[in-house]
Amino acid sequence: MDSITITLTINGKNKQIRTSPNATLLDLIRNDLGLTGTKDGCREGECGACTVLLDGRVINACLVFAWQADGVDVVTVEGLAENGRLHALQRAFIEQGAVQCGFCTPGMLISSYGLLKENPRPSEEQIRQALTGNLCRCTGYTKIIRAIQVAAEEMRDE
Amino acid sequence: MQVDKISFPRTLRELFHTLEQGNGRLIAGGTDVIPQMRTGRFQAEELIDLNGLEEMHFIDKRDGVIAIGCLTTFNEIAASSLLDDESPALVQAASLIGSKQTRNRGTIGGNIANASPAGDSLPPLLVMNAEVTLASHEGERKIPLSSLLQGPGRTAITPDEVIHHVSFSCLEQGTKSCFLRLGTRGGMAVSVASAALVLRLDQDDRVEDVRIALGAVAPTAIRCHSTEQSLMDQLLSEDIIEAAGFQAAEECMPITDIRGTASYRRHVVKGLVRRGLMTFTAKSR
Repeated sequence: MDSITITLTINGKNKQIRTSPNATLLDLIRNDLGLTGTKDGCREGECGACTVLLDGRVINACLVFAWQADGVDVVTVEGLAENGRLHALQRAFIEQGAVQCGFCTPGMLISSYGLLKENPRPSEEQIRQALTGNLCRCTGYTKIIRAIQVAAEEMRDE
Repeated sequence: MQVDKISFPRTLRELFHTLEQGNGRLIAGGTDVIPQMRTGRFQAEELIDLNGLEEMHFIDKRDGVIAIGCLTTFNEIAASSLLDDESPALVQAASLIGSKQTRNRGTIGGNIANASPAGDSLPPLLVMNAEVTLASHEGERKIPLSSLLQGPGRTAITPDEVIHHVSFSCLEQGTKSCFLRLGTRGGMAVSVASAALVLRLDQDDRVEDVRIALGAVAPTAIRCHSTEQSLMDQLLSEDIIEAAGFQAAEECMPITDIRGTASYRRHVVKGLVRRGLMTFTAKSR
């Protein structure tokens, strides 16, 4: 089997892509679609750097074969900004100093985006729980949590 | 990885036909299959994706029996108010497995089929005396989960069979259950040891029904039948609870690995069983 062809919606756009049957959704996103915001950290679902939304749910793109994503709706970090304006979460991460090397950041943004869709008023404990699958080696998480709290408040006010 | 053939059965009939044809490996959520393919734990040139088999994706209650389809994800289990009423231990375990990301894909069927000695859904299912329904082109057969689990990564499932669903009877009124575990982290950690308990006291506060299952401390998740026997008809005093912890620690067969020594695990089991029994005496649920 040389290649497979799948059709999916990515950040609101419909795309048809041909790729290897060995490719994961992460490979598809980064290599075939050129969306390198989503990161390749561990390839075993432990670090969360590859977190994306699949049909509205946060998942590790490294644990889904590309051919399992036929017909799905994917949102990556590139899909958060609207009309050139950064999402409240992205702005809060920058303003609160929650970004150091930035490698975990896309995954953190998608996980927190997913959290706030389900729960617009998360407690600190709930934020921490939601980020269980996203590792950060730089920040110590404090400012990431703060950024999510700030963004959540702004989003509630809107 | 070298994937040469992929199948997407839409019906069980198509699935059995595909299974009969060759050496296809089943994949659902992929949270264990994909990492294992990467490490070379097994080679799988042919993959059979189960996600199209909607008939295996459900949570049902009928005639006092709960049935959970094999494709039900752990987030779906964690969010189920029905399961929270009928099997709180399973819901507690489900919410602790992995991370939000892995719980959105990982399925209960996969957790059972993977048969890790540390699989967190297994002790809660064992204390519910869960049965697994296996389906093949020959029909269905039901087997107690305790018999299905045969060793680390080994089950009694034959190559032409698939787990269809797991089921258990609702607990009697007044019966409580809980799940506890120890890991190096609160989440996203393979358990060092885990325990699920079910308990019911009679009107004199004596133990009428008690079930204790342990995970990560034996080749498979196990029930502590000796400890259960010793607790029957007892009043749950501190001494009795302490003794139960010791006995459960004796009943298990832990190994020493990167997550802990055997003696440490026995020590942890003592604590988990003690705490588990104490939660029942301390509060009403």
